[in-house]
Amino acid sequence: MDTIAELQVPESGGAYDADSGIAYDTSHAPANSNASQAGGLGGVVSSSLATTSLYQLSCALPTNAEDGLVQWQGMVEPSGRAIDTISKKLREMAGVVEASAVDLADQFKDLAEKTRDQSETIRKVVDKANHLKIGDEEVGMMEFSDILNESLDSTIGKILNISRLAISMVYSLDDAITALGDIENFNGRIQVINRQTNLLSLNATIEAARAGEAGAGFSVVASEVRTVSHQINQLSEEMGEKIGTVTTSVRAGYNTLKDVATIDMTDNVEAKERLSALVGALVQQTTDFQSILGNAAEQSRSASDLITNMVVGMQFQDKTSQFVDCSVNTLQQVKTVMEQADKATIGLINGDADGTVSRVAIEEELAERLQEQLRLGELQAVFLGEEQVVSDQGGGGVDEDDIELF
Amino acid sequence: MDYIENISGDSARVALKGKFTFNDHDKFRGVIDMVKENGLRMLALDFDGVEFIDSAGLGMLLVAREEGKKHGTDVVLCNAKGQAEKMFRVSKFETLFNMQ
Repeated sequence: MDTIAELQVPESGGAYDADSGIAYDTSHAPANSNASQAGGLGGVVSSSLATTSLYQLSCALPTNAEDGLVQWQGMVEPSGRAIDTISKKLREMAGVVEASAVDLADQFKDLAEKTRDQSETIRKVVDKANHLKIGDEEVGMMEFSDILNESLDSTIGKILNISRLAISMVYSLDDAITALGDIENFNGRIQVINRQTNLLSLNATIEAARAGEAGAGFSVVASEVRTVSHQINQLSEEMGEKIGTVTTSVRAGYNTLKDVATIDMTDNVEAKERLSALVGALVQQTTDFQSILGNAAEQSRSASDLITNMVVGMQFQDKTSQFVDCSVNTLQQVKTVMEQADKATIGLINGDADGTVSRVAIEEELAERLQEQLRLGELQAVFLGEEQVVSDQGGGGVDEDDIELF
Repeated sequence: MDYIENISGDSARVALKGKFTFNDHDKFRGVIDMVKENGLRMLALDFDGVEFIDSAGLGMLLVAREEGKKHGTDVVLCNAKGQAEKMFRVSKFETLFNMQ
């Protein structure tokens, strides 16, 4: 208010009341003012002005009606300029606020969209994390774990089966080698018997020679027995050789089998447990990963919703624009009425007024014009002194019913 | 590996001791022969004293099981611990043998 009072100080011309701090523009002050006429309107104007804090702060009561009118006239033009200045700035500010709000709303919309995209991306990551792509086939982590465990179980089963067969074979070859040893033993006994047979045939030949002519036939038999003994001996030796060959082959097979059976597959068997544990840990990690990503996706969704709500909230800047428009229009009406009153005052001072101006008529007209401008229910309620009622009905919060959209 | 056998009626308990590997196949043959020769209803193999078993050892147990099935003998594995217990578990021996 002090600033406005200072604005009223003209740089040149006019008078200045040091006591009241009010500048007087004496250019409109008539030399022969009608004191009685001025007194009537002066009362109205004084009364109207008395309602403004500007008057209360910066003006002393004029000593006569004419002074009062002059004082009033002095206030009209600077007040009008102040109203124009404020109106202009209010509109500029409203424009800036609206442009910023629209810009911000657009950016927030973009942000909300990007956050939604992020949420969707995270959801895809969660889905990917739970599946392995093998060629054209997609395998879930749990399924992968089952497949691996089944494969490992199958591998271990085969390892154990090989071990079992190798041990069975070892035992069979043990038996075979033992049997071959027995056969070698039998062959040795055959050769002993054959040697005795050969010796007996030799003795029979000697005895047949001693018997002379009578033993000639027996000598032939003894000779044949000896031949048979030689054949048996030859056969036994061949058999012994063959048995030796078989024994050598069986022992070679046994040694090979022993090499197979002694390949320790313990590490392979134990690896199953390690692999199962690793896969279990991998599945668990994936589950944890999914859980964390799920939370991240949920947070992104929440952020997106929040931003969307913020955008909706920002659309309430319309209310600011409406208030500013309403305020500016109201101020302009005040200015118009003040200018009309100024013209009326000039007429009054010049003595060509029709004398029909009344305080009540001015108040009613101004009130009607202002009320017409104050279209917003909330502002109208304040103007009419019904603010409390509206406020109570509005519940103190932002009520969309209060917003009168253009 | 060493073992002590204790035959009581139609049941036998063999306490094994040390490492049970391919090198023991000859000795274990004696255990398998017990199944063949004694008409046992149950052969309990006690692993309390076994500190290690390899894949050949597991193969020998499977051969014993096979012989047991042929002769109506239930081969039972008892008191396995440490590495032996782990090998039995990984090999799912509980699905093949009676475990105690």
